[in-house]
Amino acid sequence: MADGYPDKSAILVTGPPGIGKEALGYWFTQTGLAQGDFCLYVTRLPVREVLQDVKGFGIDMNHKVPLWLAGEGGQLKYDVNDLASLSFSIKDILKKNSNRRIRVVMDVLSSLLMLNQSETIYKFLDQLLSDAKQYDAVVLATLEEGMHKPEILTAMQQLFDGVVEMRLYEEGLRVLPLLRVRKMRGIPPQPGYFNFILGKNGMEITPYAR
Amino acid sequence: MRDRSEILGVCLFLIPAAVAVITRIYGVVVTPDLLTNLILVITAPTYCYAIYWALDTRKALAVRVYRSQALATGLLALMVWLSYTSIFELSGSPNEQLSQGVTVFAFAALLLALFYFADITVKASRRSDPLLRDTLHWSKVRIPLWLAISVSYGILLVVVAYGTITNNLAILNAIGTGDFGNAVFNIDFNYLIYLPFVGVIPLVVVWFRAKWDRTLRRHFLWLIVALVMLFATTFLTVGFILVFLAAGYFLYRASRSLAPLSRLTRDENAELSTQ
Repeated sequence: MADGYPDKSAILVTGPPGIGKEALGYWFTQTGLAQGDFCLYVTRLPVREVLQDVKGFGIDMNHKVPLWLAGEGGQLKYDVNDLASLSFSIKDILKKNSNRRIRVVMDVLSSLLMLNQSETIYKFLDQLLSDAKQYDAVVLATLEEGMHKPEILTAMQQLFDGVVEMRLYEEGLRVLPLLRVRKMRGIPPQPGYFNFILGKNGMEITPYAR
Repeated sequence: MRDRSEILGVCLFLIPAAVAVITRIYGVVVTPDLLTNLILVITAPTYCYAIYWALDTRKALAVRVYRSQALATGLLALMVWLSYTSIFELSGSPNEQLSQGVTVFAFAALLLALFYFADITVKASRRSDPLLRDTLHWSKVRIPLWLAISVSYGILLVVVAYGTITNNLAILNAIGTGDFGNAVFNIDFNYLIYLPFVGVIPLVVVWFRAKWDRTLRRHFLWLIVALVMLFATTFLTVGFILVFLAAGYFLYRASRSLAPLSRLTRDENAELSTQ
């Protein structure tokens, strides 16, 4: 894919709140829309709040919009307590758009993990990701760091083909946002870290060296 | 104790604290003037460090509401230091009226910073809540509250500034007694000045609800300790500097806990150095 994500893959972006994980989802959606892909954005936030955020990163989603499965204001309503309905809705959407390239952004995993048994979510995700692969979709999901036990984070990482880790690192007296590709299907493990800056012109990434 | 930034934080607390203790043990006469200067000099680095960490964390974050939360934490630390030191700097001033004016001004600025902090923190906590709960309908309540506080503090600051600049004794005395002979000013100076404390109520609710958010709870914990220490200083005559310093240290811990910070492991460090 043009964004650098392998075809038919599921990518997990982890990081603390506020670091900008969602921005990767916004750009992923915007690029998809520009290419004519079908894009589904699943969020528990109201659409207007996401659009405010999107604007902050200099992204214009006024002309081409994804299909919103959102807590409020979307074409489809996201109900945090109804996992079965969420699973059914996503599968149905994938099926209806199976003739197009599909991109799915899921910004709901942390809330799902907090409100359900972790095993239930693992099963739900496992099923969802295999459905997505069946319809040649690429899934990008975000997960909050600092809200779940380390073993949950590790288990979640096992379910995905690629894991991008965004973290705040302490170097001397500075706080540095660094990015690392922990794993990516089809690419040998990358040991290096990257500095990144999220701005209105996109994401600037440079290799990090001490 | 794993990093030099933490070591520096502890040193900025321990060294001045040791100086304060030694001067006390060796019976250095602490006159009011010397005390206020000591407070200024000795506590400034600790509070500056707390502000620095809050602003540095802000720089590293990308989402607006979390950046504002970091800014509010830094602003709160700055206002605590400025208001406490200005109040103590002027406490022995022969010009009692001027001292009262500045005290009200400093107190008002501190409460405004506290309300801004509460407002932003409640907004940030909503975003991390899995059910997106609007604590005590804060998104609706905050607007009239900000309006009421703006009008009330606008009147208050204009009156204090006017009285202080023109050295109007009648106004300055009224600021001290809270009796202006005018219902609007009386209500403003005696009751509405405390309106920013309303912000503490949703913060308490957020604290109980935020079981899922370990980062927010840790941040709150340090902040509560700092605020308790600051509250304790109002009853202290002995050991004021130590407690005020400790409050600064805990504000620094609160700034550090705004977001989870990671460290590169020794192996990773070695690997990066050879790249």
